[in-house]
Amino acid sequence: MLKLVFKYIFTILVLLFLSPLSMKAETTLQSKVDGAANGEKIEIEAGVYEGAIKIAKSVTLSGNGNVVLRSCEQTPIVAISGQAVQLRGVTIEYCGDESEGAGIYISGSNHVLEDILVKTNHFGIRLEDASGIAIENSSVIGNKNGNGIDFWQSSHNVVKNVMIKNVADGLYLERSDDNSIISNRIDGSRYGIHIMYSNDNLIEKNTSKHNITGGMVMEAFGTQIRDNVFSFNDSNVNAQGLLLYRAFNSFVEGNTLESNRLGIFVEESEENIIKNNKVARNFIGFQFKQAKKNAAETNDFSENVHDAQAIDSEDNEVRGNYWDSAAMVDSNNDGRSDIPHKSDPYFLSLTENIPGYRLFFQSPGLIFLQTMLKSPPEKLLTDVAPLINRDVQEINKESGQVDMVFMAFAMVTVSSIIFIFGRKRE
Amino acid sequence: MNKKFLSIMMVGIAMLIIAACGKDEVKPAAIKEDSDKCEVCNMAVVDGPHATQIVLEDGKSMVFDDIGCMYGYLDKNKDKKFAAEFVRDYHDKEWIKADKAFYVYNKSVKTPMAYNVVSFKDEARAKKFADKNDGSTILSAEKLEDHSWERNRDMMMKNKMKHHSHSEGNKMEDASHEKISEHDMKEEHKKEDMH
Repeated sequence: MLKLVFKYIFTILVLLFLSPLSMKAETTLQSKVDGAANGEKIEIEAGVYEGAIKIAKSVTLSGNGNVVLRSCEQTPIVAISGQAVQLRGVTIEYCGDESEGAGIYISGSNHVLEDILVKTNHFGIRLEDASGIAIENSSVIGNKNGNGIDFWQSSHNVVKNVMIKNVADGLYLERSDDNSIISNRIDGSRYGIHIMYSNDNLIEKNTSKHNITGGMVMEAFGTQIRDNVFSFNDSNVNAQGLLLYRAFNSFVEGNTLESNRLGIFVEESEENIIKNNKVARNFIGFQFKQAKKNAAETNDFSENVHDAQAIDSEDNEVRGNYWDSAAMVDSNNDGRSDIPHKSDPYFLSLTENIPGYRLFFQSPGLIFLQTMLKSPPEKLLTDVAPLINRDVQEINKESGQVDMVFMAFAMVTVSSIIFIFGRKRE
Repeated sequence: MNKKFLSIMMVGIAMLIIAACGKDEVKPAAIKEDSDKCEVCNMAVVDGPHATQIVLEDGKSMVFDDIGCMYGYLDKNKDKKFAAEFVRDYHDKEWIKADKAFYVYNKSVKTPMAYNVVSFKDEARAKKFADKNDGSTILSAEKLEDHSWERNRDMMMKNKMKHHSHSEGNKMEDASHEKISEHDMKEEHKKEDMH
């Protein structure tokens, strides 16, 4: 009997010891921050801390072990202001219902956030009037209600190696200039990277997949979009890889846009350069709408259902791209076709108002109609000198030829065997 | 005889029903967040207070994510005829005919396309909002027609446009543009919490 009681007490003690003890953030963390001198390092012991804290002086907070800061209040869990605050190695769980609520709120300058996991019901990290901030090697997981990392009037910041999932817009920049968004990964969100009224931002080596739109640049000047992957943005009726809407002087180079509903869409935008991108396996590869003075060159357009389309667009320079659907002749061996490649959006414009016509895709009657009733020249997107080869294609072609010879040889052998032995039996 | 009378009655009732249907008020369509996109700016339309729509005469409707986008469209398509235009009440999201609504323009109100105009179903609500938020201007539907739809950053964008077109221009000029931009930024800093 005594043994049994002892056993019970022991079990309860063990349970108590192992269960995560939740502490009040106000009394533990906040008092530590308040008592610290500028430049001091504060180590946070493992555990769950309930409530919100404010950091307004240059201190470093780093989690030692599994540190979770949790709050369902209106205020952000960690509010950082002032200068040079560093926050490392913590998990932030925002469970509040405040529509503008956020896990971390940042203003001021030169703060560093590293190794942070934010789980949020609304916004992940918000930057307001912040500059010189570095957010690196972190993750934001949301509930589709707010943006992952939200910039408002915040310039000269860096976001690098951050994984963002299941939010409204992965990275949203408004009135925020000269920021660098590098090597981040955004999945399952509304727009991966969304730039609005913001100039001279760098978007480099990011991967934005399975979102409604991979990258969206609106009302912006001088955006550099390099070496990103905007792919598999295809599950929404309005899905697209990259949209430039009223974007000016952007530089879009070396990106991969694969398996989207629409690869690159350029609307009401001017003087953008779109170069060396791979645009493959999209429903529509490339689309200009009321776009002027843009240049598209040496891009690779392959295996798209529709190559390209231009609506009310003029003075765009489309030259030297590779189109797998183009009929090509190169009489002077300069690697460029002598026949301009024209993308006719006939089928597309036909199905725009009556989607049911899509049933007739590639039907002989429709192809006949398309040749008969050519779209007016101003609707065509014309590449004046399409590329004959692209490097990848070259290799494929060679191996393809070897395969063909082998296949032909094998078929001849097999049929002769059948022929010879078949006759003998008779 | 009786049969004939009955059939005439039936036809009469049917005609009445058809006539009644025809006279039906134009009704706004519900916002479908996963498929609706703004006719003008291509953004997904959130089923919130900023959504607006134009109902066409064939009953189809076009949706917009910001009041400014709708008025931009109306301005470009003055020759077209529409059945009705709808905006929403900022607080309870009720659809209101655009010409019956009251509007508040405030540079600090965040709207999807930064046109900074919100709509209310009556003047009292608009006034209450304007009183709460400094720098608000109440606009009636008629006054909204004359609204410039200048967006907060338009000034900056224009400066930037000049800046970029003289890409090789002298540094003095560039510096002066920067100054204007900075000044604008400071102006915008004075924003009130809208929530």
